[in-house]
Amino acid sequence: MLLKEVFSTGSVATPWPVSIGELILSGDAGLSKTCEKKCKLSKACLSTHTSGESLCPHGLSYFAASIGETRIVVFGMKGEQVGTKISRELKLELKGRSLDERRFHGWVNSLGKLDKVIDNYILERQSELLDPLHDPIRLARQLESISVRLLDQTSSSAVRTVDAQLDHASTEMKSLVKAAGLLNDYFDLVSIYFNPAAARFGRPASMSLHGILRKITSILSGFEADEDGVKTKVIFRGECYRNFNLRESFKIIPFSLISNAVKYCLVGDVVVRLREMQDRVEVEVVSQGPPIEEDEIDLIFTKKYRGRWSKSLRKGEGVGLYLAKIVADAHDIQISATSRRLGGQMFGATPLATNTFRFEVPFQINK
Amino acid sequence: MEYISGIVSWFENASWLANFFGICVPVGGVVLAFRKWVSSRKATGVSLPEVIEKISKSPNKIDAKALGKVAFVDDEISDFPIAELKKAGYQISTYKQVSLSDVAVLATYDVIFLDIKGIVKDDPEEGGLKLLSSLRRLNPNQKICAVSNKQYDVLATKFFEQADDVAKKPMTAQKCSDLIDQFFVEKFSVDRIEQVMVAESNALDKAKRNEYLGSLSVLVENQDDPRKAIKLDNTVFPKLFEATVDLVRIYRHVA
Repeated sequence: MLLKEVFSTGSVATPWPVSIGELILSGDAGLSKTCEKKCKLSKACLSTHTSGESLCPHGLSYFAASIGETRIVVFGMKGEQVGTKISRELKLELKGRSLDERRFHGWVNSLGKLDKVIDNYILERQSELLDPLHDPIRLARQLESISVRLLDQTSSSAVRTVDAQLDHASTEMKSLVKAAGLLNDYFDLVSIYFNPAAARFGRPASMSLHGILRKITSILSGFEADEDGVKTKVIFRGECYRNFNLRESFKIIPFSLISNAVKYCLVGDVVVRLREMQDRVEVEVVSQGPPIEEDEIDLIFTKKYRGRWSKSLRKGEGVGLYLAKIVADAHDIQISATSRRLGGQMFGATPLATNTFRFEVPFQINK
Repeated sequence: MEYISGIVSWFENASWLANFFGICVPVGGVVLAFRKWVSSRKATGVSLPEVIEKISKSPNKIDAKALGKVAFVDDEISDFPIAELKKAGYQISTYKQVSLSDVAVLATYDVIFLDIKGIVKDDPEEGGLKLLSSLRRLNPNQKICAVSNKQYDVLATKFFEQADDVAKKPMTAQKCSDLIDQFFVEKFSVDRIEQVMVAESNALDKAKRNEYLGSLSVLVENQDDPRKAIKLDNTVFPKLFEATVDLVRIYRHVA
């Protein structure tokens, strides 16, 4: 993971000229004349995807391999493929530059071990650093379960579901239940952020998608106020009383999409629509906010990326949609986004657009 | 009469050695064949289909709560609603800390709720993961729920991935009983057990299969400990061994 960074310090020598993740090092042998003068590192050898020994257009051997996602290419060498019928000049140039596949792979293996040592060290430190999260997560779960019990005790016996009980609860009770619920959802986000594999943990269980959306919308609706003190409402429309086989992480998808919409909603309410189709259900989260440019539609789901128009409006880390995508991938669900400008309407200096995030859940999911 | 006198004269004319082989070989062959037939009848006294049929036709249904054994292995037992589960009729055992050498005992439970950290004296950091791997090897049919809030920890990924299900702590009584009930349904499914037994016993050679089926037919008629009496190497055939233990327990339970 950090091989390139380690070698770029110059403290670790390489025996041959090598490219490590596009970092060029001349190594103990130095660059060959052909590489330096004729080729001038036009990098024909660096742009191929071969592995093992190959011959470059100038007749020199290069050896390639990958360690994780890092490409390693040792170039300007005399391997078996160079042969004996070469010019005297090239023969002289390649003197002391002999390399075979066995030696190359031996060296790559040792780099692989170094990479593993670095990775393990990082993971162990990360594990140590995150260890203090253990008890807060436990306490947050306790808090949520107590708050829901309290809500149940203070609600009339005719109202059974949490979202319906919240509609009739006092402001303080609402805040308590919502805060406890949000705290747990944020811890789930943190878990998946540090360990994306957590999105696949546990077996899928039968869940009501309608129930999940109702709960999230009632928790997020009017909970957080923007800089101007305006609380955004989340309106839930549609129904589907089917149960779906979903993993526990699934709720991260609607949670991230709705909380993202609430955060960047500049005008009106956020609308969550649930529509039952022939063999699947469709969920849409619609809001009016800063436009997402065409070339950003895929980028907004990548880690740390923040939309051109939205990053100046609100503080953020660019992880919410990234996490939604990780969980969607774990469920083989596609999230799509569209952004249509609202004529010339502006919010201050920001153009307004209707942003729609959409995903579908097949009835047969995980069956 | 002519035939008999012919045979008698044949024996009279033959040497004593020819007489010995001529009489002993066929008689011995008949005796051996008869013994083999008797022993094969004995080995399949009650066949597997008969055991399955007796279970399915029994008027008594499987009471999973009475049959199944559940263990909670966690240094914070208070995170589980033990009293409520016991009150609901589940057979619960709790362990705050175990040793890796206790794995054979733990492997006998039908369902295990297992934490990753602080539960194994010999290895407080990764003991849960090692224990889970050993349990999987010893009893592949056991249902394991990995219970930990360390889902954020990349180093704990293997622990969660090897488990049948994953839960966070503290657990509510509802969540616990839903999980246990689901595990019991899967573990005590006679159809599943039969499938495992038929598929796995086909891998045994004839002599071993007869010996194994013989021990099964004896076990359904007595009250011996199936783990000690099944004639099968549980280290080589753990899946078949444990499925047989479950079948015997179910048979005795509904009988």
